Amino acid sequence: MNLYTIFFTGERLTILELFIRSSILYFMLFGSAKAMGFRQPGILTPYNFLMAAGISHIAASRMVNPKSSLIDGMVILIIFTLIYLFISYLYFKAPTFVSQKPVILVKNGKVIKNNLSKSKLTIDNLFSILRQKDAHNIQKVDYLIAEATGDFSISINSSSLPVTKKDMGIEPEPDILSEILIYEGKVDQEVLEKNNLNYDWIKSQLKTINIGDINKVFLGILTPDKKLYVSQ
Amino acid sequence: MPKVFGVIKNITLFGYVIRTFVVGIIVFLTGRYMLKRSINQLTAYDFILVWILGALTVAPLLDGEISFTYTIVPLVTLFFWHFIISLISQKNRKVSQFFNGKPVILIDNGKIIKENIKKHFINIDLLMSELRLKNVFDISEVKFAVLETNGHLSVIKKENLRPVTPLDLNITAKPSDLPLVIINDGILFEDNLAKSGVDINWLITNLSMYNVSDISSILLATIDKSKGLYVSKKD
Repeated sequence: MNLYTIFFTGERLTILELFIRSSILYFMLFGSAKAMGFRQPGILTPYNFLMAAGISHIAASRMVNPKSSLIDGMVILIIFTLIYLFISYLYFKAPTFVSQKPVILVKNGKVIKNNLSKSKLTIDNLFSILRQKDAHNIQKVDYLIAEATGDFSISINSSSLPVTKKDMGIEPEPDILSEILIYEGKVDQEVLEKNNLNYDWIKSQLKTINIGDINKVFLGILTPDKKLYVSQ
Repeated sequence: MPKVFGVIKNITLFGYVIRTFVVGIIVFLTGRYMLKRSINQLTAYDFILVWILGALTVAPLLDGEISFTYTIVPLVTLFFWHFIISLISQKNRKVSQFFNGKPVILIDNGKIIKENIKKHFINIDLLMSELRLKNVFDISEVKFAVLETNGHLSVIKKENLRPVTPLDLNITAKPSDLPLVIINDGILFEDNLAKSGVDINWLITNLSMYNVSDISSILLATIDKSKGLYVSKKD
């Protein structure tokens, strides 16, 4: 094993040296992914996509090519992450400067031709999008917007939407966000405090289903109607 | 026989052709055995891993001097660490939350949590656009919004803006059931027939209502719990 070949350059790498190199890069990439937050896959703007492709390619080339230096790769990774963070910060501070604007494609059932050609979409594309969004009748569409993330959002005329409880004058009980309260017998304090609950409440809930010992609970979920759903 | 494997200074075109076939097989095997989740269920880290795997597997096609050893050893290393981390994540929830991240509440009970929005670099425009993608055009309709670990946003609307359900109107709804496939492209599935509590004679009698006498002329037939048939013919 030769430390110089691992960290700098060499003619050849042995299997162990390759393993060490790859492991270092793996954990570095993990660190940078963690630092960048977990926005990329879902809220996927073209910029994030390119960034992820680029950063992984840099790492991959350092893993396979003994002639490229690992230290260089590590420095590039760090700077790449910093640039990413800086631009993400700009996104937050000066959104008009970095982010693309959403474009309205359909308004009140009418196609806006100018915007359609600006977004490089054809009428066939538009109808395909409408069908995929469960709106095959363009007359019922209030708004169709091409979002900066590349996806499309649609607002259907509210008289064509399912009837809501408000329309029917039904006054529902308020509910809470369902969360995992107990996992393998351990209670999540944060969730407990947030919902103004205490251990006595858990005990009384467990009593109603004949469980005396909290350690027997594998999973306890706080349901939206503030009850405890238990799985042993 | 041209040189294909090992470190080669001047690789021939034919060498690349053979390498491409081998790489194709490696890519298939990696995709088949390493990636268990579908792409849009991946967390940020998994996502980067997919990119590296892609770049790694094709590396022998970039340069003759990159041998398959240089590809396969890093591949196995990545697989090794990924496997170890998944194993620990399964056992320990804390570790899992460290590696996969925790869901973040962006709107709690109708109120935007500024701290969390800032921490995850989500500006108001982006939040609004993500809400629109979830069919919410008016932010005041939102009760909860949660940024999931795979980057997607979950939205829960305020109670009175949710659709009316049979429960609200005290109606007993028809229980949902999963219809079973009994004929697929002319082939009869006797197991599913037995599960539904009917036999072949019953089926043939009922098929005559659709003017079908021969099972092989049916493309698809399903049966639900109340013995309702759906039949689609081949022509």
